[in-house]
Amino acid sequence: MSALAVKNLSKRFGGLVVTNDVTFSVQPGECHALIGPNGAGKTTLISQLMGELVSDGGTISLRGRRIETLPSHARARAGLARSFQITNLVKRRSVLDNMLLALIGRNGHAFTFFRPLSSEAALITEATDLLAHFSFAGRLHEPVSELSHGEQRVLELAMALAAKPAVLLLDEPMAGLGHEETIKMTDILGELRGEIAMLLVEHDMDAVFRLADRVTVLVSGSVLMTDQPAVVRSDPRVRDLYLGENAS
Amino acid sequence: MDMNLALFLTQLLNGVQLGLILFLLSSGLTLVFGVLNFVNLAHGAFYMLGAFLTAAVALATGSFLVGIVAAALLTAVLAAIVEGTIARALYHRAHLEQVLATFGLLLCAQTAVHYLYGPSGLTVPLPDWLQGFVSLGAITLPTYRLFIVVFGILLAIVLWFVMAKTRAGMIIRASATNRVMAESLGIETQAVFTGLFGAGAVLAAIAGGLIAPITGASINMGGPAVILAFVVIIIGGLGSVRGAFAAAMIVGLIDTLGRAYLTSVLATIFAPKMASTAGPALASILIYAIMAVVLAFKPEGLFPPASR
Amino acid sequence: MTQPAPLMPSPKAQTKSFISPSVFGVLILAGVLWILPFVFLSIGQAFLVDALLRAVILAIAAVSLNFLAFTGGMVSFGHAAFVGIGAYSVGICDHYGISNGFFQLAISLGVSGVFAFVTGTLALRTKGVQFIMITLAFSQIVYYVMLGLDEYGSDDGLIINSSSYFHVIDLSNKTSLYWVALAVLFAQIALFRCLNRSRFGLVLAAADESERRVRSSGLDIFRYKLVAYVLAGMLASLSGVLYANLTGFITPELMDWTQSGDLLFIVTLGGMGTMSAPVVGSAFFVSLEEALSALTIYWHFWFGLILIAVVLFGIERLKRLALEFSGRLR
Repeated sequence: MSALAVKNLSKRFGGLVVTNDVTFSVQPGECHALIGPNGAGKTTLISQLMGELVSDGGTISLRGRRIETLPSHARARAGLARSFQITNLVKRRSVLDNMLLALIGRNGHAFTFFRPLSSEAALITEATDLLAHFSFAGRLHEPVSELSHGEQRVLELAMALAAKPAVLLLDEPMAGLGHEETIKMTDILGELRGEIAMLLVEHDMDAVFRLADRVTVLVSGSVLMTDQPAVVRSDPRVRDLYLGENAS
Repeated sequence: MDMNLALFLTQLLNGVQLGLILFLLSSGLTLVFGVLNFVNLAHGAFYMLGAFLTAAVALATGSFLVGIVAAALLTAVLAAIVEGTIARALYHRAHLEQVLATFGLLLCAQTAVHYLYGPSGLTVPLPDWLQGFVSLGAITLPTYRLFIVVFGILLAIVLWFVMAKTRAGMIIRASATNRVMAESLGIETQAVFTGLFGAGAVLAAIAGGLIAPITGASINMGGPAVILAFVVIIIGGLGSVRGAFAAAMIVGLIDTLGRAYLTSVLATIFAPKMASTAGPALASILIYAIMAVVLAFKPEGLFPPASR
Repeated sequence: MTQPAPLMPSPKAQTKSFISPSVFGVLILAGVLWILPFVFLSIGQAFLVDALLRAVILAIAAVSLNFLAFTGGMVSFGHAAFVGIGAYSVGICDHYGISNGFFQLAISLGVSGVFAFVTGTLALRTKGVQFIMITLAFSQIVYYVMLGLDEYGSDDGLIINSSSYFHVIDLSNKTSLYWVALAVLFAQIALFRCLNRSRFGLVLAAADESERRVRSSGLDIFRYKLVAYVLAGMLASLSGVLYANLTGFITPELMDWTQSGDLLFIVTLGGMGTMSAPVVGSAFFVSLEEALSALTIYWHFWFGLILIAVVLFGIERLKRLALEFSGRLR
């Protein structure tokens, strides 16, 4: 059973078809990259997968369970996690607070009124351990606004992973990162390969071809091909697409 | 003519008249909010000042029309001052702060008028040609209300023409739907803002001047009026003059017909005194309920401006 | 405009001192308010006690609004409706000869709870200025309902013949009323401080800044906001119950939008930094009202100017200016 199965997904805005009969799947442990020129509809696709946009047709299955009718927060509960193209962290709060939020959402609720967060030892320990794994030890109480862009991205990724998701949607994780930060992020993602199913939307071709097990090419809302990186890379149609595109 | 029909037509006229007054009041407000993203409770102050200035000048010169023109001009100047000093400082602040600051401005204006003209307000004398009644076939209608309707429709047509057919209108509409794009096209937005703010204030003042002979100029008329104007522009769609017109008509008709007929309907079931307090209240409740429903299910309004 | 949310105290710091600085501040505030009536009476200014009572009762309504606006980002322009519901619960019960305080309290909490639930379900579908307007609309509806009911006085107001009877506490006694009001006020402050430090507070604060973040963590924001809204509404109704007992005479004006505006002003004055800030805002507001109205009948003019100044220059800067100014006077 695939971790994520998308079948015949379609979406139109008025007369414009942005997602055209898209079908692909992500296997457990696979790193599946989604590439395509600007305007191909990659972010719209991710929004539909997450539930922020309602599709017009098609199905989305998470570990065999149909989720296309569920609201966003329910899909998150079902095991779908996302890292955002524009970081979505609670910048006023500390690193620890943000991680606690991710853990609370995982399978708990927040209708506790009288128990101070500082007394929730189990939760704090789990958060601290996770944060330490991503090198945030000692920076737990810093406000997120004081982290660098790259560090914020890593934190977001850590929070997405905190939920122990079945599938991780990564919307351009390298965007806006400097050279060193890109290497660091690529390493982290590399470590996750085989452990968790990932759908990676990226422009950075080096990262894509280093990390991906399979690649799906999206053009103008339709799937051009799905195959192994080497095959995709040498396909003449793909070459044409990226001729003139800045493949970093 | 049948008494009931005559009564209905009279109330219909009153409803249309109220709707037009509301339209004048809210057209400026919707543009100021739509383009400037500025919540202006002091708009009610312009309405009230329009009434008082019209009254004062009319009493001094003996001419109602001179009063209205003077009120419009004076308000334009006042609005320009307010925009340059206070409003401009608030454009980028949170709406709550705009609400509080303009509320303060409204209070200042109300007390100033209280100080200048006393607590009981002013009454506006009407020239002979606007008094009395006019017979249209089988029905007789008050001349002045007809005047307001005609004047209001003319102003509405002028407004439509300016918005739809002139360059100024195009600029305003462009700024309403996409400010960033408008600025990148080199449109001098601050001048547009000041002009818009002033024009809105003048329209409100005219509305106040027009209603003054009927209701008198009173110190507290600004508050309820501006709240009602906000209800109108929310129902119509923020930034849409078309929407303001439609919503103003809906609100004006519901309020007038509601007050007239709900009271009598209620009086058949309940005691007359109870009905006479409950009827108008119910009409107001209906209007607010409509706004709440619109906000909950179509928050952009009934006739929102073309896509943002 | 809102100041950064207080960061989580690190687990280590909490064990350092027995009473943390902010708890200390609240205790001092409570102490001052406890002593003030005695001070006022001893200098022969009994009317100041009345003003103080009003300030405390007003603060009770402002504290819940402060939580809604500051922690939850929900700026409600209809909070006075709940105060009105509380007041009219007492008034209407009294009208029918029911002066049992517990019964009145139950009605007040029940009606305000249901009202908050229904209106909140609709209002929380919106945000920003639409939320401000829809909460305004709902409170205007309540205002017009009471205005339209001739049976309960409408415009002329409703006289309350006997104060709420609570067996052990006699609310017709001003001193008892004051202790009760203080107790309710500080119980509320304690409650909201707890909430701020709990999971619930974290979710609300996070939702205010980034709804996407909360949703993608798996939480349904709407439910949390609704709970906060209903809680705030029910607690604000207590202010109305006490107010009715204080004045013995209520009118629909209590729920007018200008009253909601006053509450928002109080919350802004306090600075929105802490849960006890509204107490300071309320005290300042009532003092301002008393002082200005004693000087001139045109006091609304100066009040309006102060409103404008507070917004334009920000409460922090004004506080510093005031301190500087008073320093120079000495």
